[in-house]
Amino acid sequence: MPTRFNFLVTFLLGPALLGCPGDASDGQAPLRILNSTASCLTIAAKFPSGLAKIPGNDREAVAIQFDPPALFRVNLETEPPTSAFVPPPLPEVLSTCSSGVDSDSDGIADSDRSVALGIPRCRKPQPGTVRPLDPTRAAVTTSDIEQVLFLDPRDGSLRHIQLDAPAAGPGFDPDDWFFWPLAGVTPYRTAFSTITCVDGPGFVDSLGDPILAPLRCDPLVNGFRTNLTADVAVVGSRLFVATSNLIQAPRYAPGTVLVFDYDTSIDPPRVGPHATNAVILTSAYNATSLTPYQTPSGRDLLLVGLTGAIQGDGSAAVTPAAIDVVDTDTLTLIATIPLGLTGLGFSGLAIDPSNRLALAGSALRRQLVGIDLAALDDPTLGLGPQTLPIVLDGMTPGFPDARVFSESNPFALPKRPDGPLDTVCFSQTSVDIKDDGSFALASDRCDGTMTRLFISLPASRLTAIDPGTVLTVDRRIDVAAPLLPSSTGETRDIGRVLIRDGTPTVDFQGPDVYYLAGEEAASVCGVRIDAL
Amino acid sequence: MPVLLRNSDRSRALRVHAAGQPARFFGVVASTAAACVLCAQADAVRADELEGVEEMVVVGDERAPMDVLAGASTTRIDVDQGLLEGARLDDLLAEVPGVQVRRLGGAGGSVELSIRGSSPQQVPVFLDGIRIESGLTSRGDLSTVCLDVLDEIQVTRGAGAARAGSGGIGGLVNLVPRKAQAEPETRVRIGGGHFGTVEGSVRHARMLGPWSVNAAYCGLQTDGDFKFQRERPSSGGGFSPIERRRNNKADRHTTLVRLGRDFESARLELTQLFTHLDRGAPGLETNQRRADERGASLLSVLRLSNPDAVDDESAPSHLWQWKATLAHRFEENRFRDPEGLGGSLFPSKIGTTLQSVTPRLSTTRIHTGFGGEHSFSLLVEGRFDHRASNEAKSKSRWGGSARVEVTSAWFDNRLRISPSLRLERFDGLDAEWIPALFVEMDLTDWLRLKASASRSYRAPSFQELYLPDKGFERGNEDLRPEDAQNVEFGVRISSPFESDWLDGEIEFTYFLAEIDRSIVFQKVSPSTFAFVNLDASTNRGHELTVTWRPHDWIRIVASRTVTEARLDSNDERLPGIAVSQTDGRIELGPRDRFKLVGEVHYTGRLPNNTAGNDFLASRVAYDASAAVDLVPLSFTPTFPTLESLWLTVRGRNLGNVALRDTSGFPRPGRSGSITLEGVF
Repeated sequence: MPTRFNFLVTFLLGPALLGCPGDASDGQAPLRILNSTASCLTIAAKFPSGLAKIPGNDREAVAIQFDPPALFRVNLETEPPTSAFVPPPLPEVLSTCSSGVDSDSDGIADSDRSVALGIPRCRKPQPGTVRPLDPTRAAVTTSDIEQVLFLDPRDGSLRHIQLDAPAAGPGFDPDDWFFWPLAGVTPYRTAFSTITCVDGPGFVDSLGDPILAPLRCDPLVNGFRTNLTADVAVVGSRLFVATSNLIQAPRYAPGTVLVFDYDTSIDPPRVGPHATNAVILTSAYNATSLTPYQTPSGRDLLLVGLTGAIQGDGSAAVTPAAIDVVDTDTLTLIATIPLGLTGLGFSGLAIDPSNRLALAGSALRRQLVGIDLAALDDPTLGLGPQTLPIVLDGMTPGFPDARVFSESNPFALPKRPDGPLDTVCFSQTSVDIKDDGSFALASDRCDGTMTRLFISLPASRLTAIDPGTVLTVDRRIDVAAPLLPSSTGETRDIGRVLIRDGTPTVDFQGPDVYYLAGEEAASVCGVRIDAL
Repeated sequence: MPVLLRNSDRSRALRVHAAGQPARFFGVVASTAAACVLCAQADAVRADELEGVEEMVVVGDERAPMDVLAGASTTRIDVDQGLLEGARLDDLLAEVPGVQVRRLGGAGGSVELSIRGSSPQQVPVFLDGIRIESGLTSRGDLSTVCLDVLDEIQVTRGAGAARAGSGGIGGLVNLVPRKAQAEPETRVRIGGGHFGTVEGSVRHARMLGPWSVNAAYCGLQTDGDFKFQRERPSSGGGFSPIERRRNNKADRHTTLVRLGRDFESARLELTQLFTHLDRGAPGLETNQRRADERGASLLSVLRLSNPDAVDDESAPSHLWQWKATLAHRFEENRFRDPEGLGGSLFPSKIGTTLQSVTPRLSTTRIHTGFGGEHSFSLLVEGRFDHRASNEAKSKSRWGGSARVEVTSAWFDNRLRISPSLRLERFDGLDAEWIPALFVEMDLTDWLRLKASASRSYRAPSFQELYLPDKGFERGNEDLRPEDAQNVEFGVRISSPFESDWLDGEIEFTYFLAEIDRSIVFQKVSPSTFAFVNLDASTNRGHELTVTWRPHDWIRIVASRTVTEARLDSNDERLPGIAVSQTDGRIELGPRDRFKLVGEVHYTGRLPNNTAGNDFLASRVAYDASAAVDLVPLSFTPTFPTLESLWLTVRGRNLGNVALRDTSGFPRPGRSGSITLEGVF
């Protein structure tokens, strides 16, 4: 055969034989199979980020899967807990990044929109706290894509809200809220951005250094851009969002509480930054939780948990923790309760049913902190001529000491004898109080234990709480394994604790206490503490 | 399985002519490039849419001696046959029973090896007897070495610490480099494939006076980016769109130079292996990053030996051999992540260099007596490692070892027993005694039994000990060495029949390893991961291989490996170890003319954790290749020194299924490559 013909055959042979590369889409999609254990519902990723009761529903709770983001409605009556449905995925669209999640349903991938608005690198929403607002809508904070996302607890699908930003004015600069549409444009979305520029003279970070203006914010003034959306709460017609504003641990910008008008008289609800007071600066760094609280006189307050700046490995606090008190009517920070270098826990405050004692865990140690809510009873607190915020540490004349357990006298939880060394594992604790106020339960992440605590409060709100007697240890319960190499394969690394309302076996079946676990797999677990 | 090398005439002088041949080579490469362009255009259109012991009998040239003990489960892989099939190093290793290959990407992606349920750190990799796994991580990344510089791959399954020292808990891999032949030879190979992959090699071997010279270069460049289906959890919340695996490029260069000279009573050899790798590190599929890594290593080995038996005149029945080796290895790694690690806002740049020096002296004396032949060998070895890094203080470590080994053969070599004892000590660690006993017996011509029992261990690596404390991760200077006890029993039945249609073997091996203090990276605090020693685990299982050669043109091999790697405390499976693997292969054709190969690979469920509640589903993948020598077909013009010109087409994952060897790291879908290799 002529050599030229042979060459032609060879030339054509290549593409004919190779064809086009495949995209690995034939056959079944790669499935990661997750099986429940005897007491835990296994979900994806490493640590579930949220667990919360559904108001008015004793038999179910909502839990958040971290990656891929999803909301579960968990049946607490079964053992192990089961999910009422297989949650749908968040919608995805074409994107220049590998993840094209469009969680706010604006038709543009979250990451692409973020890049287009000047916030670099590919991002995707990382869920945090979940807060059921009503039977059809739960708010979920997400960071990396800083926003509050709305999901339906009935089926895990996205729920719409309507964005409605105010017009520019002395208290509101649209340029600071660059993710929001301009006034008059009211699109329907399934999430709203919690990014805003906060500027002012003299801002320093938690290490005492001036803060450089970030991208998209005014380069001529000290300022920062909010990030690490931590918690969300609704009080009346206002929706509050706490942002931690992390620069790089242990460097934080001042903490903030963002205020939004939340109009539920229409469907879908309308949300927009408050026109005059959209940003409340906190007195300490690292705002991590929001707890609505109504005083005996009916005043609506918001208790803001401030962890303080902490080291990245959780070994120590760099700045003090505190609980700030916000008047949700005047939108002012009226008081603060300093707690010292305790590293207030991330899971928020647990309040006893008599509204006297509020307890919180710690992000650093095997201990609890607590405050006396009677210190907030005065209906004129913060309305007088005093400089705000009023410091309720017993050192401000005319004002009580609201601290029960703080840096100088934390409530230490018992240590598990076979648990990891405190110098190796820096524990985190979470606490919940039974709906009848009879006991509290505190979880310890390193030891894998729960401590049942009796609560003994004085009969009168005028009588000071005695730190020595208000809490007593009933018993320590080893609900999971400690964070040790010898525990490999066992459930451990436990977090948020939740006590079911009602009497076990009378008002409900199944376990009476639930918690989140991060190892070996992300789990929602039930355990019988008082339930037989 | 007999491996027939091409009986090529290598007596001609070597020159590559510029006319004629390059046009054909470039034609194939150009057509491959055209295929890729067409496919890229198709992609653009779619952009609007979403998204037994195996022992090989070698005929022909001298092969490297197998430096393993009788009774060890060792497979020898002929690299030239692998190159004919368009295979890569990981393709060949994946077919060995008991071996599980973890590919973390595409053509240039990182490749790890697990043998009999071991971790990658428990399989040391050697080049001609010298360690080449990373001194930093104790892990051998086989993607840095190409087949073209190798002559053979020897895979020993089961404890190899008696022979190899620290690390050989699961087994060991010995890469045997090419050596010069009596006749000069040049091989040129060029190929291309999907994902913008181009690779090629040049090898030349000859005698220059008294010196044997062997030089080889191989290179690979790939854009690497491929489409894949995202992993979906059964709990919900995810679906599996088609995504693009980005930042997957790789650029690899490997050179090997060997010089050798025979003196009156000794042989001198110098070997240098240089590797350079520059590739993207996209990370997990759920959070693809723009990180990249760059590495280079240079291994230099100087060896003086008397490989031929020298008569000891004072005792004619005694033979004596000795070998002195001095090896130096330099390794440099750079890792850069513009997006920062562990929540950092600043780019991460980590640079590490490692230098290792290994002097070794061994002597072997062969004695005939006591009714058999006995080989007594003594080895003494030192090791010095030094690590420097931009994020940690420099560290050094001394080590030394001595090994005594006896191999005795009786009854006309039908019974072979080999006990050995190795003493090893590293700076800062206790002395380790490593005993081993291997036994092999040919009961009949067609029935062989083998058994072995040994201890093995692994000293912690520099990274495990001294990883800087960054808050979210840290090393652990209190780590203790991993420790293991291994046993195995095996039987090999060769066909006793003379009929070709019944020609074949069945080989079965049972293995058991008790491993204590395995080193893993685990959460020790809510925000921190560190290296820790685990409690005991047990790896047990079996390997079954059936080989059938009914005709000179037909060769069929099927193998199945079942591995139960479980933690003793809760009896749950260890992560990353497949429950079972089954591989089937059919080869058709006379190997000196053409070869058609079809392969099927089944991998069972892959646990993702040690709680038994998270695993990847099983899958089946198909590969195939076709190779033909164009010279006998007169498809090439007459060229005096062209002995053969092999055209090979290989297809991987022909079923286009979603593959993962570990969660979070997808592999490409259906892909192919085409190569042309000329031998002069």
